[in-house]
Amino acid sequence: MKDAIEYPNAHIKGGYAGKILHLKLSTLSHETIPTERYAQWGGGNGLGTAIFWDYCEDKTITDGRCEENVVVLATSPLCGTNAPAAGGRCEVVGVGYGQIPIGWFTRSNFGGRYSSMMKYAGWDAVVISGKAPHPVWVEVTNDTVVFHDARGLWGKGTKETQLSILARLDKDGNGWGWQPLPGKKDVGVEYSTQRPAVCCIGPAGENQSMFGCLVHDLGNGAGQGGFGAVWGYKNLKAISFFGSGGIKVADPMALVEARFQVKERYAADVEKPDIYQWGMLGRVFTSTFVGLPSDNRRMQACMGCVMGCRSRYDIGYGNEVSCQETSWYGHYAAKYAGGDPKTMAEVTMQIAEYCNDLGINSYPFEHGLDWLERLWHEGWLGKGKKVHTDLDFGQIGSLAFGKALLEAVAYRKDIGEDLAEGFIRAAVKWGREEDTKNGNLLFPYWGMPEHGYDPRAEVEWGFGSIMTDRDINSHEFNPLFWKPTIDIAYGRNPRIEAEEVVKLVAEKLEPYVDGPKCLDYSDENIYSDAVMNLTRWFIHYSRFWKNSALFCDLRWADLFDTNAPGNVGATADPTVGEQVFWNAVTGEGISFLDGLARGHRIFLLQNAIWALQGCHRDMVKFANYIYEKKMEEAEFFPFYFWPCRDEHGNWSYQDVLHRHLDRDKFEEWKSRFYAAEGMDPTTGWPTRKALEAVGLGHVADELHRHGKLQEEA
Amino acid sequence: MAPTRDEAKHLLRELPYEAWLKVGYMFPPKGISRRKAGSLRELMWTLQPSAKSLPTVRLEVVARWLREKVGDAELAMRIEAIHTGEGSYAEKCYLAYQAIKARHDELAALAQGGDDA
Repeated sequence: MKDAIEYPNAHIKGGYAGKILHLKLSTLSHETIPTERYAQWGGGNGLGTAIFWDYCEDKTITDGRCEENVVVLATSPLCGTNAPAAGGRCEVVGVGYGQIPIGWFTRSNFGGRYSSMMKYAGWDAVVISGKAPHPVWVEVTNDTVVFHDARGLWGKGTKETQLSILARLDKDGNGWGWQPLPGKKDVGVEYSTQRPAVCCIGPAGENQSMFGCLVHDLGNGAGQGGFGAVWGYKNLKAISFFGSGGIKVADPMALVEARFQVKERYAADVEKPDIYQWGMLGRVFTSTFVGLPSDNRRMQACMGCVMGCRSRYDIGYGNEVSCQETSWYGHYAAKYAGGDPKTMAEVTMQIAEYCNDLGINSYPFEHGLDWLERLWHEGWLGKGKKVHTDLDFGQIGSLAFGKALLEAVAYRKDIGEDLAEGFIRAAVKWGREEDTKNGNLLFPYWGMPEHGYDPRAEVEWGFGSIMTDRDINSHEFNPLFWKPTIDIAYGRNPRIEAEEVVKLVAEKLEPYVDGPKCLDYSDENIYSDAVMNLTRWFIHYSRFWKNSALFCDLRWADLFDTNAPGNVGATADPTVGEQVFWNAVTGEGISFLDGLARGHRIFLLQNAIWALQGCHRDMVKFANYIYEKKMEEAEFFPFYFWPCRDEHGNWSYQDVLHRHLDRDKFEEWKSRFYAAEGMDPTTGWPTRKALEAVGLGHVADELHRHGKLQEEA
Repeated sequence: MAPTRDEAKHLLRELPYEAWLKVGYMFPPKGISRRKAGSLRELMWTLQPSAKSLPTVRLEVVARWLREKVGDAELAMRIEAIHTGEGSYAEKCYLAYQAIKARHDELAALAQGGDDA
């Protein structure tokens, strides 16, 4: 370990388990790190980034599949508590695999009960370094850490892997009734009715496909970043946590009171849900994007969530699948089924489940499959064609084709050998580089697929992605698009008029912004300082409150909410805001803005890592089509409403289709962004002044040693 | 005048890929999924109402596609009338769905019927 950051003033009052587990795979040994050293980073993303800085001895690596890479799975003080929609997330950081042009130090995140169980076992994070000499899985039961040979699990899907581990850990074979487990400290044996929480990889990770993700239980996956491939390289099949402990809450009554306040003001009426509600925290929402093949289901939620967004069914498949994995194949399945919605749903749910079992991040298929189909129709791809495949694209939409495609990617077979390196690299190899530039492949930033919100319209999403390391996948502002757009589509007046909603949101963003101008998405304003400062708030919020404190992206930020008086959202609220829950659990007494400042500090440290990896502002650019082609939704999508302000200062929801970004204006916007964030506009690297201002002088020293510091005059 | 059996089959055919229509779905909060429809039938179920998504189409483009690519001027006129008529976008999508379904069912019955007169 080099350059350890010392934090003599760090203190812990509540929320933390107190220690961090370092798994040294190369020697199949472990050590304990005191959490106190890292507590000032909060948890999750910040804590993990700080640990990476200290424990990764070569931060110039650009492919996470190496012994030097350090991966951290980190909880937050809120994990395992009943802070609303903040108890169940787990953050993953480290150098990833599959991004373009470099495998950045990056992040991912998953839900469920893994982070809770990690803390119940007494650990705030697990640090993974080195490479095991053979496949292993790690059993953590309270303080006991055991490395097991995983050669018998290698090749198994994530479901069978977890079931095998659970069976192994069922010490008395009672099928998870009362279960004995080694107690903590001087306690001999303790008992629990809980089950261990396992995070593992499937074949996609084992075979080091960039699609490889980490999977926990049935439907929780850390997809972006290719961390499954990183685990696969490191011969790490799974880590299980099983604990009988609890979490000390600094002010339990404050936590309970705030939780009741949230229920009082924001909770949906499940008997009479307001289906036209605007807001994140109080919405009724299921994250399965296909008509369900069964009406017999029950909600399934992450630990501490206020609303289960997933389901379990009586049909034997599709349990807990959610979000994009339930939409990417649906259209093709419907086509193959002749439009029969039941068959379409059955195939879609089974394919979604198979993605999780193989440990595949399905997002690249969102646009990638459409592109493959194009190549097949053009005669570029097919049996005996320029790009040979035995996959029968004539059967696209069938269950068999979907499975064959997923297996190709997971096992690096057929075209999967190339696709496992990512669609962009495959396109270049196949002589289709132009498709990466002209929008035939909708991968606008870092070789990652467009999320479904085009950067040319939803600029804060695009700016937030390109100024970081990946598709930001953070929904703070994007209800400002789909809420009014849906209301207008259905002929309703927008539930909150544009003039009101921009005021509500802008108040939440103070003092980063000065009034609602930051929410003017008109062509004339998107390169303004106001939007630049909104983007800064966006990144700082997501870095700390979302990815470090681990408030769920599908509930927070709550910037406006029609369930509450005055349509005021819960974010930053003095009685129910994020900081209220943080302080109740930790006893720290920080403000909401303090959290944003921590987000900025985390972002600076990450920029230092990216600089060491080789990042330069000249690399921070969208795919060409974002600058050169107007949005093609204009051909099929009728409108794309965002708040806009006219020349008289009047607000309305306006269609912002028919535009592309201006390369020169964005480059100039970047310069202002870098300067505002404490980075050198000529390079994009953090300045010594900015780093020292947040206690990271030793980081500046490291940058200097690598020639990555523009010394101020 | 009703189409002949061969005409019905022709109107129901799958078009060459270059002639496919860009369509899409909006899945809040996942976003917009962009897809393509290669036949009248595929367009029909793309527009089928769903509690999970909102179809994303431009009806004037749909009408043009029906006229120029599918070759169904009669249905194109109906869609144009829906497009220029009263109602919200979602209502128009539903009316378009009904019109396309009716036309599809009519053509399918003709295509499956006996020999041309």
